[in-house]
Amino acid sequence: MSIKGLCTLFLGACISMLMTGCGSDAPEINSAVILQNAKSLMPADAELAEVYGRSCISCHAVADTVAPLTGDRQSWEPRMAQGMDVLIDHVIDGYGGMPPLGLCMECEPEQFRALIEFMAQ
Amino acid sequence: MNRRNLLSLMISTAAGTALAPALSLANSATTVGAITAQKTARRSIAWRNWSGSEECFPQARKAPGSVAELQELITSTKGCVRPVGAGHSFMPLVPTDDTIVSLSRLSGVISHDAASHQAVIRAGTRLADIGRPLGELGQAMINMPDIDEQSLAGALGTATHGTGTTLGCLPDFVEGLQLVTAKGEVINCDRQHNSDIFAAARVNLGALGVLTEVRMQNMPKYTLKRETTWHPIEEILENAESLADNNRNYEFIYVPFSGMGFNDIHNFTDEAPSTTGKIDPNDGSETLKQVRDWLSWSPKIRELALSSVAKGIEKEVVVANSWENYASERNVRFNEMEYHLPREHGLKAFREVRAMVEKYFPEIFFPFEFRYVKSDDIWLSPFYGRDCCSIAVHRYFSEDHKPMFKAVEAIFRKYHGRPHWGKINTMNRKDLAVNYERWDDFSTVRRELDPEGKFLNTYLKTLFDTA
Repeated sequence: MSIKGLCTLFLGACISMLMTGCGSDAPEINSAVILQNAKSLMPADAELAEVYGRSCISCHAVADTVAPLTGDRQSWEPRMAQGMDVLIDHVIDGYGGMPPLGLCMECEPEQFRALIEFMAQ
Repeated sequence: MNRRNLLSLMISTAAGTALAPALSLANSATTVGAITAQKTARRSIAWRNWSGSEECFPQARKAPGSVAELQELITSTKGCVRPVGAGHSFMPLVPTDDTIVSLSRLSGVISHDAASHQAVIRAGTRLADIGRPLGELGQAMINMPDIDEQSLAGALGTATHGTGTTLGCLPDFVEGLQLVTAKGEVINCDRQHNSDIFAAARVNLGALGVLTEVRMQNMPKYTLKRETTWHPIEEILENAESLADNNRNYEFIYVPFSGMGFNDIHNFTDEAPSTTGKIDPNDGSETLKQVRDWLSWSPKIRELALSSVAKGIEKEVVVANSWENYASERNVRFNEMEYHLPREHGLKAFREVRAMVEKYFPEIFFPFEFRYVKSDDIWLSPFYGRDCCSIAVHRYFSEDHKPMFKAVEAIFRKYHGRPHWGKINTMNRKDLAVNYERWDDFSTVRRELDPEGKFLNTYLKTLFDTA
């Protein structure tokens, strides 16, 4: 095999590893329970619940999105560790798949803070 | 420091005197939460689109909870009013310093007719939230795009589309609609009543008024089988026309600098829901970016490496409810240009785009997308009067898209392409008037409904006149 062929094979192998991810073996033991919990939670405050229902729930209480699920403390802890200001910035500016203002175009920062605190409970 | 932060700093500096009391209050706060609350309350809130390419600092961000509230808002508001959906457009359709109006509180399916398979849906409903309630009524949308984050009003207003040679864009499925005008009037229109307004309003750029509800022609709910198979691009191009004609939904994706792409095909099925393993498109994008970073110095080795992997990717098959089987999650941000070309020019134009990008733009890694859309009779539809092929190119959101888009746009325009209203293009009023036979008719209806230009922002004022 030529050097070019070897390089190609090596690179192909590297890319294959990238494309198949890191092969995480993290147990999925509680995923169904966590999802069910996320689906069942709703803010006690009626106004906040209305905003949560139309803006947040479609990603934060649904499987297979990369958004941290409501009530999934393990997922929220590293995010909360960044500080509330950072998280509010992420909501306002958009972050990853989350659109700017988190689909609540009229929300104020205080509402974003309350929603984050609720989801990270 | 990014532009928004710089603007925020400039604004806060300019408003320093006014903010001083708030700063004093913040300093006296005793808890972290209170400090955060004060700090966040002072922040000037920007509206930005999904990719971050467009932004504004509106004086007011509103979300009326009823049509009556919307009427009151429009008539009582001074200055420009711009409707805003999910922010998935890349053109400056929304930005205004005055008022943006979200329809997110005007959402949901209002009513349906089982015999005609039609349903009235509030215009603020996100496409992703339409499928399930319609399914419970025994209906489904006839076609859907490959992203379903958009609001219904935003998707219709920009002529958003899926793929399929026998299927029009989303506005082609609209059978009636309701609009609140600049005077606060509620206008209902369809093919028989206010027919000119109907012909204009199905694709309206949010420039006629604010859409509040839409009567959609649907069909009995159905299951789709989606099959994705990788092939050399020359093989794809050779078979594309035939595959497009012989499958309900057909598109292909090409990965630049790989020589490989995949056919994406949907057909009706009675099979039970199932799925094979799938490549996450977001992981795929990150991988292609990484490979670009490593190998852009050698297109040949880059193609060898990418193609060797692509050839090993197995066929993917997903059987699911139609509304669950059109769209994919897009978590990697990009800017996009898409033009709709007469079908007879589509493949030739694609070959030119590929050759040009692979010769002059080694930094590109996002795939090209090629779709088919049936013609319609909607005045500002890019598909007006002609069957089209849609070709889309993308650039990673934080990288400069202008040089590549400029070069690609020249090819699209050479083949008489019309741009997607929500995607980056440089067509001005004169260009658009040449490309749209009913441009003047639309402009006339627009002036009659909004003589003072309440719904025109800076960009739209370059396209349309007031009375």
